[in-house]
Amino acid sequence: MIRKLSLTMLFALLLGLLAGFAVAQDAVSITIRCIASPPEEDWRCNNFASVEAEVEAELGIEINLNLIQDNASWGDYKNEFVLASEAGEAPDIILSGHEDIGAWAPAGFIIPLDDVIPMHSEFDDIVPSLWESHGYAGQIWGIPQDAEARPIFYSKLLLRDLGWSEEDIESLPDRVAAGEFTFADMLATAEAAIDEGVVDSGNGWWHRPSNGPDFLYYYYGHGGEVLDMEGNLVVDRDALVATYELLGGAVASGVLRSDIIGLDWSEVWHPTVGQAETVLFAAGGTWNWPNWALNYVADRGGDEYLFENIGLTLIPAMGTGKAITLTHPLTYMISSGSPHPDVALSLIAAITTPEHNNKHAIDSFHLGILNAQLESEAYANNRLLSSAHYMLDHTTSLPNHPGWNAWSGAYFLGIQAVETGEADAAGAADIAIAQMQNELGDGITVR
Amino acid sequence: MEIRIDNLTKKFGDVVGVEDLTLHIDDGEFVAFLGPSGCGKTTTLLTLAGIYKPTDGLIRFGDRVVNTVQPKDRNIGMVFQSYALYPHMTIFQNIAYPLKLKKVPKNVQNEQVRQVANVMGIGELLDRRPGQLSGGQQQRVALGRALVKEPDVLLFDEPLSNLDARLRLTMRGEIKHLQKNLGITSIYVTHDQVEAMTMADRIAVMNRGHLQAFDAPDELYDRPKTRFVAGFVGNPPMNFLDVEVSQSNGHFLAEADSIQLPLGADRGAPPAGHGGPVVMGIRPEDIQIVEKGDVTGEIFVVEPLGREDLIDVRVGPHGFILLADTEKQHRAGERVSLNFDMTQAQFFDPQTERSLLWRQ
Amino acid sequence: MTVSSDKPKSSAALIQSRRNALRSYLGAYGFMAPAGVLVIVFFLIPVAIVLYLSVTNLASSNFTSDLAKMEFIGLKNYRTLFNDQFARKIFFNTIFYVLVTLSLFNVSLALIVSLLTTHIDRRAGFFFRALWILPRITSPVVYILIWKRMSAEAPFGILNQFNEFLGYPTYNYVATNPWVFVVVVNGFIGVSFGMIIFTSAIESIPKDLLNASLVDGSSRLQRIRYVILPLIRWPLLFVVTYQTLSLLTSFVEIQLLTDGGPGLYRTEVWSLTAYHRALSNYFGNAQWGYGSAFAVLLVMIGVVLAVIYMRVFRFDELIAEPRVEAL
Repeated sequence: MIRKLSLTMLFALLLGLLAGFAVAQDAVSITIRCIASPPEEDWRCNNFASVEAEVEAELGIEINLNLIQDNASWGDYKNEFVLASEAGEAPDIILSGHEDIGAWAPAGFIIPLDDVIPMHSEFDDIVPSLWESHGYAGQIWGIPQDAEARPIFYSKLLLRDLGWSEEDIESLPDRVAAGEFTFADMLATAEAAIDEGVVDSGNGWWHRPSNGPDFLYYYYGHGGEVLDMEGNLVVDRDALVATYELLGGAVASGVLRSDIIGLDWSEVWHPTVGQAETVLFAAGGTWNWPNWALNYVADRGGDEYLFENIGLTLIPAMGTGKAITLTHPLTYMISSGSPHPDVALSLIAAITTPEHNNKHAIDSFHLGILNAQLESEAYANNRLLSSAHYMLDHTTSLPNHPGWNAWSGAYFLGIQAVETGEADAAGAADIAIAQMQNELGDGITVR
Repeated sequence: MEIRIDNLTKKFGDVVGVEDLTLHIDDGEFVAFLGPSGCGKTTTLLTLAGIYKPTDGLIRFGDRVVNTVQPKDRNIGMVFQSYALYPHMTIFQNIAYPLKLKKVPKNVQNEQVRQVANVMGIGELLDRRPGQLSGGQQQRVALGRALVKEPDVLLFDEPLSNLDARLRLTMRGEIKHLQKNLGITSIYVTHDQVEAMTMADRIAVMNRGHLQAFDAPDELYDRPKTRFVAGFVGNPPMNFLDVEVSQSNGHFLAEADSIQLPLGADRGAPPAGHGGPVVMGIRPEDIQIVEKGDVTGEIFVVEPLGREDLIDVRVGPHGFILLADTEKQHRAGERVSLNFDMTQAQFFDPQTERSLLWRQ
Repeated sequence: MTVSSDKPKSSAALIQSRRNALRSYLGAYGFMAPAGVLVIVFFLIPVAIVLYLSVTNLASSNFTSDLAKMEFIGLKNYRTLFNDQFARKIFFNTIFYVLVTLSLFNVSLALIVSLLTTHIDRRAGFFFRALWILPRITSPVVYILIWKRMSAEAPFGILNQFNEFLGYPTYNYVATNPWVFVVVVNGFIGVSFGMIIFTSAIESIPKDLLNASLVDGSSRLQRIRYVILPLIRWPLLFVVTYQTLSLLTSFVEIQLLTDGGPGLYRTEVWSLTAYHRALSNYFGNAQWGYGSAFAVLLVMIGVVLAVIYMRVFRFDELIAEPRVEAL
């Protein structure tokens, strides 16, 4: 896989070189790599093509754009950037998860942008909370590309079966946001649905079937922290135990299936959740929606079917009493090997407008990143985006830290332990903490 | 053990191995299957062994039909051209293998193996492995392995072909001697007519999957029933000539171009009665170079064989192979006069190739 | 006089014979050179590099390809590894996986398939062997996708669709029997190698030898036991050795099927752990140094096993001459 991709990359580079000779000699070559699943996320790279002429005119230079879009696995995609950086062949702009700042900033593969951000007024309008996930060591290292929310999807269909009124159903997001309908209420509802035979045991609530950012919001929801004030890794044992109690308890009560981790995404998870007929509550991400509409319920009316039968809400309040969600913004970062970081940044600035970002937001159901987008007609008229945008006010994000990979691996191990019943909550916490301490040593503080 | 093969046919897909073969072998008889390669003799042997199942027909060992009987239940011994000794076993283990499969007690095995090994003259070699033995020694082991189980039938598949000429001569005698002593019904496949002639009580000559003749060696030699048998049996082979046989006043004459050969009524009447052209066969030893004979020709080639010379004489368009005393010192190009011993002449129908003298 | 006149001649002869010796020496090394270069470039050098990486703290966050710039941390990675609460479990998982897959599939089933397919009609035998090669020549991703389609839970999986149709209960097969699936999925791939080697070994046994055994009074089973198996002993041992080592390092199918789960590393094997640590960086910071420590231990286990196998099975004899042909 890696070899195939790097071959593609090499080929693209060669093509770029040939093209470079063909045009004026003082043309500036800019290579941009985006990770995106076609077709709904194509604008991540294609937006640059729409602004090429504009930026050329503004800067008075000729630009050779070389856009490379990947749909690779995250691991391969990230390793390729690391290896390419070391080999001096990194793209000028790389789009990746914001948490990569935690590894790539200390490695020196990307450049800090604090000094140059003020030079482009476009960036002034970015939703302030998004910048928080772009910092490392007191500096800003990337420009947000998109935002999303990771909500709970609830099946209106099944809630109706359970006897909920239309009003109860439609008001659920508000009641969750207000902290009136808590996670405990959600689990109780799921149990009731199982007792009444509306759903089968294990189908009251599903979370994702593999490791991912979502899981952190259970820990955050119980007051846990990953970084302390100085930016060092910490783990709160109480929050960890409470998280594991929640997940283990859900399995014990039959709401959550014990083999949820390991289910196949495309063979089982998406077709089951997307059709709204089997699972009452499912923790997913906003971008699931267009995927379902396109691939799983297209024959039943796509979007219309989903609006009719699925709603989305924040993660109901847990220990802290506040409903939350988690945003995992993708970020344009500029390689330290780029000979033209100024041109690269100008290109990023040019697409950081409501006009361009809306195209991506609407096609892929990612939330906007600019305040002005909320007021733009296209965005406001989009039923889905407008119903989810408020979630950015309740959002959290992953930490940017080199030790996050180890931390999250240990945290996920505890989840696996408690859900398969191999450990109770306290035991799972012990396992996770021992794992963190073994791999991070002095780098982690247990609280 | 008497063996009766009736209308045996064995096909491999569309390929005929042997077709409609009927052959009855007496108890204790030594029968050779003789024929060129691909004639079906080995197929027949392996069908008798039970390796192949007959497509059609019946095989009886005694009164028992063995068509579907497994090889292990036929009590046969077999000797192969390649010896087929098990390379991972010692000579002792090789010979003991059939006994071990019969679950003969260890001490009896030991006794019987040693006895057979002594008879075969390989008693000293029991601890060796086949790879350490010469070809002749290996063949003795193979024979020992076939004999140790005291089989009802012995099958030989060209057992001497891989040995050098001298050893072949010795083994030929030994096998014949052993077979007569033990009285085991034996079938011996070979393409070497000398082996067949010298060893067998009766020879089954086969060609292209069909039985050509089944007779005692001298019968085959003196009274061949088909042209194929006449040509295949005997070395150097019989001379053939297309002739017309006519009768006038009780005298018979075989004619071909300038060649005119008078012959007696016993040999001449059947071909003359047949009418039209016939094939005449005459063996090399029945043609003599004489001072004044029936026919004159020119010597084409002389091949010295040591004891005698093989001479190819051309008479017009016709060639004859004959044998002559080396002392006569014939030379190529020499003109000679030939005398044909027409009391030994054979006559065949050119279409059916069957003998006109000897009916089947 | 004679001595002096002889002397240069003999020393010239000596030089000549030395030259010949040298030439044959160089000739031998010359023939070994291509293989030697391959071993050095693709085994010794990578092992040396991985060994070095395992005593550094190389990760994505301090990645460099300049060996001198890497930070030396001694045996810290190994201490971390041995202190890992699951290292022992993963180690025994690996042994279990290799032993069971090897004995049930890579050797036994391969042997059974090659024996069966050499005892039936040739064309049918060829057909069945070709079927068994399919798992090997199918890309792992596609192959695992097929298994997932087969084993997925109701209503998606084909097995469960049969269960539903027949009125039997349905299962999430892989989650309830992860080891069965890991072993079977890998075993089906592993059969082809042994099958090809065993089949060619069986078919190279002279027909006369096989016929001789039947005539000597063996049943077909006894012939397998007393003649065929002893004659293919060397290919058997070769397959055992080769497949042990190849199973030790295989993990792609496990990664795609269970990714080492469910639960606490239930089906995680050593090579998969090395991959997880060193190369899988869903969250951004791959631990190249730590992963290398896992890889180094795997190489050591492999080398030790290879040496043991070569000793026990006396591979030098195998190389000495082809056994089957030595009639």
